Amino acid sequence: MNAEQIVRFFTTVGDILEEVGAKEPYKILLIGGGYMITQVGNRAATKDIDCVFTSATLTSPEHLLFARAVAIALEDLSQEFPCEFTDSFGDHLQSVTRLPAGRLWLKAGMLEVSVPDDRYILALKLEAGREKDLDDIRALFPRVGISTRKEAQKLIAEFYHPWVRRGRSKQLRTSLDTVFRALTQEGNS
Amino acid sequence: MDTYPQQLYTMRRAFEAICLGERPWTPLGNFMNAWWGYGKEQREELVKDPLPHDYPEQYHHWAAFCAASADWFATTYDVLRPEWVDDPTYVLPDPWYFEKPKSLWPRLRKETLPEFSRRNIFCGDRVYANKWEYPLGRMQSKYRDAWDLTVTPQQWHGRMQQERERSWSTHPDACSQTDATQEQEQWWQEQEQRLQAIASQRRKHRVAPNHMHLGEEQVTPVSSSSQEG
Repeated sequence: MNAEQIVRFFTTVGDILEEVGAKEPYKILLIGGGYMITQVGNRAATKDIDCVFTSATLTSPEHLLFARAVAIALEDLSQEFPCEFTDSFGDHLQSVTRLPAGRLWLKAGMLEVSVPDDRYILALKLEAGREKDLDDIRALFPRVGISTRKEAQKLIAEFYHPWVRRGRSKQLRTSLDTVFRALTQEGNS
Repeated sequence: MDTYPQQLYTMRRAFEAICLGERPWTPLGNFMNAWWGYGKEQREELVKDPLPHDYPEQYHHWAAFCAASADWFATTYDVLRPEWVDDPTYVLPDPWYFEKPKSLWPRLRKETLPEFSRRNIFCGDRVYANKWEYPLGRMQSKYRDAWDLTVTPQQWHGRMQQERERSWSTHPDACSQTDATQEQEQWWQEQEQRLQAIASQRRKHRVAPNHMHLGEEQVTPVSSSSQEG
């Protein structure tokens, strides 16, 4: 999905929520590839849209309504372009990180999409340490003003709760090894 | 067309990988790929085989978790529930909160589905949330209405054995109750009707590609797409 298609998706969901009579706007925080495309602009497309739900609990009627609106929007729009939406990590992130409030980026019908700042997204990507995130990390480093491993560790500590960092210290080390090894190799080549 | 790998990634295989020292969510993720992806036509096979009996003691809680998972997958998706999951060995002697801090325990106790809590595992209800079945949101459980934290896991186990004697397939409707109140249920039914109407209207009037333009939408771009800093 490209930036325009992401906006189309959110607009469709917002319209459906309005049409079905939602009383309050449903609020979400955009993360992942959707964030990189619409906020950073370092790549053209993403396979799916990731977000965190910030306005209602996941068992609330509002969330169920939102989930159904998403399903209808996906059915509708997938006729035009491949689209996927996932919340696989949303709840997880609420538990393990200090979730920023974000700033409102898009309002469509009864949907409000906020975005965190680059620092939070970079912290998530550093913690994950996936090779597929390297391009995003490369794009975010200068925007956040980070270049060393120490600064990266500090950034992770800013958002991840101490108990998470303690429990995952080995994984965090591996993640940062992966990231900085790749970046160093690039610098040398 | 779906293609199937030579060997299905079964729950037993996932547990064996955990015992070999893999990070548990890697093999469990592989199992999820099989369950919701390439192996969904062979789900019974995915949970049929019992876990091996001889495994290092340190993995016992993961054995219990795999048994609880197989129970949840089979029950929730109407697949023949394997008998091995009812082995009382898989009821942990002490509650396991996945090393989460104590402050989260009450929430985990509240949210964990009975297939897990009855084995003294308190992992919340998002452990198998996945992108294949997004509209489910949180994991559902057919036992949700029978949720009772005053009952010990051992008592649950006794009940479960009784329940096992009943056939899910003969009374599918009786098992699909949620904990919603009647009023909420009615509200939801009305919403669902509206949603169905919206969906069907959209199907009828599906616009051609490129017909809709962003400028025609009622979108309020609240701020520019560039970030500060």
